[in-house]
Amino acid sequence: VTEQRSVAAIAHAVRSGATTAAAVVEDTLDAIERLDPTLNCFTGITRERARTEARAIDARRARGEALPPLAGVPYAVKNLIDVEGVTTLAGSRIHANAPPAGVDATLVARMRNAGAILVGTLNMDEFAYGFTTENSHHGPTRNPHDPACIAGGSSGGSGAAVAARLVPLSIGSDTNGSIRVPASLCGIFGLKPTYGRLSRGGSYPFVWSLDHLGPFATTLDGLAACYDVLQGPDAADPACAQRDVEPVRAAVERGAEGLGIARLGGYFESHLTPAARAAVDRACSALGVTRTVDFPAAALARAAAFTITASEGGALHLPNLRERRDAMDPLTRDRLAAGALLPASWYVKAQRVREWYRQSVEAVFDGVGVVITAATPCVATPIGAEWLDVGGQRLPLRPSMGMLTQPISCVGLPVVTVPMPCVGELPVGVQIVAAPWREEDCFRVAASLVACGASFAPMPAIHA
Amino acid sequence: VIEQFARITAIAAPLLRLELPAQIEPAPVYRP
Repeated sequence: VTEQRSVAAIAHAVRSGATTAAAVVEDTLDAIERLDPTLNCFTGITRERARTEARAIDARRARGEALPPLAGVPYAVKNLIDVEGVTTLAGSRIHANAPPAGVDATLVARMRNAGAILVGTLNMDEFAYGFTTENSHHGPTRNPHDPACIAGGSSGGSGAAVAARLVPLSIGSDTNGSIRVPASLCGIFGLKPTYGRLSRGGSYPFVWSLDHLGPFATTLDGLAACYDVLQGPDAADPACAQRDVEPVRAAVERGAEGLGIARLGGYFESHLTPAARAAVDRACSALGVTRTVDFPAAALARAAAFTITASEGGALHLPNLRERRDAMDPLTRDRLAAGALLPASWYVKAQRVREWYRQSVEAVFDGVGVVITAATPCVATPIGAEWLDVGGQRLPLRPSMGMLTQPISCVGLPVVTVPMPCVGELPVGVQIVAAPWREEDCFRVAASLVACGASFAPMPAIHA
Repeated sequence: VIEQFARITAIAAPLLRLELPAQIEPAPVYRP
């Protein structure tokens, strides 16, 4: 499958002089103008900045300078990530009149240094508390594969903009699944790195002890290239690890040889609709996986993540709940208010269960290198849908979209989500999960699926 | 709010019933 406007293709074309960064930017802005009124991915377009950054790249090339790895590659960021001169909305109306950010977030600065060109900010669930991007202030983001359906969330704009090929790269955040859910439902590649791997400096928090930032891309190679330029310690994020950059782009060529791969059973297997189970089947078949392992107590881990999220989120937004509650989305407001009422003993218990669960998961990785499961229990559902039928149960849809992602991010494991498309069906993705700091192993397994043609980001119907 | 609180309570209930060794501390974050 050839991706015409992939990260590698654009960077190569700009570097070789086959096109200019300025031309890439104008094409990108045209595509956004044409398709975004339908999809509603963007909450802001940074036209002038994009044109200025493009001119700078073209000038460097004209002077004969070596260009950085993402020179001329357009991208966009979830609107909880600071962009100099732009108000950081975090999906809310409350922040609409806040002053613009004074400086770029750490990851935006790193993308700028790598030559990437920022074209805008992206829609999300209010304060990142949701899995559907049905934002009552900015409208729902629509899935490029079926605009009547959700794009997933909370980084729905980040997922849909990439899936629609408006940009080949975007950056989002993942607290309980907010990168992996939209990557799955939109049929693209996404990375939730190990907790502490990528700096959150200059991003608006949701749940301090669970928040991660990470990229989306139309290709695995593009995802790796982006991840490599985003890595590195940062004093602006107290949870960011003091680890050297560990590049993965070259490592993917080694394939999955020698990595023990297993399928996640138990809790994970019992929460799959037929479409999600078929996606995992295809991945396991392509990789020759026959072994099944379990993360014992995954249901308790999800309960812990749910409780910690409500409690930390409620504590963060207590001033808004007291003074600005009328400006909040009713669903977000009620979730946060309930979270703010939880007893402290529940929160402490949840954090203790999390530590207990982490130890048991670590033991699983003594025996295998990588585990695989679906990223969402189902394909994209219609906007406004309330219920999900899975495993013989009828569950509330909005929180249940994260039931396969929460027990994994709860203990900070790295995950690459890959699309496993099936002709004639909406996409659903598979999570490739490794032990802490082993992102490289996730990429190696993902690369095997790409190499055999099982995984690629399908072109959405909106381009048909 | 009551509905949301009930939803969290239902999900958290098994967590609250679980007995853990006293030595398990609330320290889940990977540090360098």
